[in-house]
Amino acid sequence: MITQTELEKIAALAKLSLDKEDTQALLNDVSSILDFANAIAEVEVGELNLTEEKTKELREDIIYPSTSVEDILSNAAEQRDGYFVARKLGGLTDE
Amino acid sequence: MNKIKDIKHLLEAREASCVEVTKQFLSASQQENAELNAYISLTEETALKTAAAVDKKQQSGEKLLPLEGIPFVLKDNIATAGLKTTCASRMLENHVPIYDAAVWESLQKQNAVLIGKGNMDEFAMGSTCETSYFGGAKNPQNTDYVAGGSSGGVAAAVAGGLSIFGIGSDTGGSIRQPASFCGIVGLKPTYGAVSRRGLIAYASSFDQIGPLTTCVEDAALVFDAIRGEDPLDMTSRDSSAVSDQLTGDIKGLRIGIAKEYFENLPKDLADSLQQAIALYQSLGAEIVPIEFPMLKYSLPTYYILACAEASSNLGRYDGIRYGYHAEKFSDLEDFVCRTRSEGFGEEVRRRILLGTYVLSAGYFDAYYHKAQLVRNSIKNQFKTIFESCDCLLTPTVPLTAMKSGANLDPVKTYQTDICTVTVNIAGLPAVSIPCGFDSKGLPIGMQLIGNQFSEALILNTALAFERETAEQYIKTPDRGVKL
Repeated sequence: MITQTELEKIAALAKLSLDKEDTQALLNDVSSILDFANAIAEVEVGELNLTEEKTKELREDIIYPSTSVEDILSNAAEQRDGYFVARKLGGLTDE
Repeated sequence: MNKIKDIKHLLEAREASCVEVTKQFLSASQQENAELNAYISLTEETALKTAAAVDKKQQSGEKLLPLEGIPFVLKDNIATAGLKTTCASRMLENHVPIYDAAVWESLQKQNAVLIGKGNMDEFAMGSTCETSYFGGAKNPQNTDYVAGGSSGGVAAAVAGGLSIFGIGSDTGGSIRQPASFCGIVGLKPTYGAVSRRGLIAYASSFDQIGPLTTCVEDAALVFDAIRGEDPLDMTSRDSSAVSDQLTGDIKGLRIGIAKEYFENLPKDLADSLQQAIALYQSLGAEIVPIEFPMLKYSLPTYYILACAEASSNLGRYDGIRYGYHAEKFSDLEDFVCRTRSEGFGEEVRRRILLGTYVLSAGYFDAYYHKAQLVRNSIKNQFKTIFESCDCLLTPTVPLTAMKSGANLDPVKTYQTDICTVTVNIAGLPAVSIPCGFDSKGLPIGMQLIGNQFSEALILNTALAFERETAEQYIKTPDRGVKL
């Protein structure tokens, strides 16, 4: 039900690499799950009634101490001068 | 099995200090974990520090709070600042949160003693605990079988006599199913009754935190301690305390039986549930036949919506701000892809892919939008159901624990969630209690589902059953702490 090309496109969107060996098993799994999920196609249900008016409840804009920059950076792979660092080169060239 | 009041008695009668009791639970947990694998980490220092504070308070003559000094296990997807919180994933293997979850804050206020972080399926995705990066938790009733999932380690610790109560999370049955498999009580509260702040998100409109305990009274005590509106979780609401509402009297209660839940049940489960229904009738309840034709659509609805939400929630794991990161990569895009592919296990990757697919252009209407409509329809069907009855009685799971390593294919595993997921779809409260054993001696669980914020009613209904059957159906483990 899902093609190899579609799976590759979805993987790219989800930022997941597809290991060449397990693609077939994954294709089979995802296809059977989609078959299972497709059961909802047969049921007829009405559209959501979204016309109800709701009032907006906003909280007061009160300033209070929040998390420190030091704490926020404490789990980062790399940080510099209060910034997260995302390296652009990592020892491999594009295949 | 050990209860909260057993510890309370020891402490108040000064028969043992909290530090002594805590050391017993820590030691038993350390010893049994090699076999049960219930804990991902033990929090010895934190536990002993809390225990010492409880002893000091006890010595000063101050009255102890309901959960003060009680040893417990916290599922490892609940943030504990300064203590590793891994979600049983390589992605967060060494992650130390910088803030406390709301539920952990509430339990710290009561000086509940944290013995350790409970093993679970990775990112709460699974029904056996076997998708855990650290290996699955075993069922204390019979270690050839799984503890269940995703709060498997929590259930194993409580059922194995290693903690008095546990805190788990339930997105599609993850508190109730392991409670059923391990022969203990598991409560999934109404969506919004307990703050989700600090619960590492799987599916935000389904996730809910709740207690696993050895008796109904304890589930009520723990729920009372953790419920409440939290300004930092906009989906949370205040609710009334339930402990003081439990009488065990259910005369005139209307218990709904929907035949759709009982189709194709194995004989020993069917017999147990029939006996439970007969017992309720003898206690004065009225049995009301109910129809629930939408039940069969609940599994596909759940998996579509939960996976969609999961794909969004797990998008945050990119290796840059926290968590696992790839060492070798060609560019930033490759860094993120490798990080995620190496950091996440197979089941998590599968659900992310499924979620991304149902949200993608061209499929959104047929899957995600349609599932939203079906969800709404299921919620409406429950509204109708609760006009004719006060609660529904169903099996918790249409089977008992699977063998360890059974490795069922994904769809077969998903199908075992049929009785539990509907509750999360509608945001309702539900409790699982032990109601028998199968021919292999494995526990069978019965589920009671109530209307929104009817925790008192379903717990009271559960209590009525427990009072008549606890001696038969709640089996003290041959391991763990014997008080």
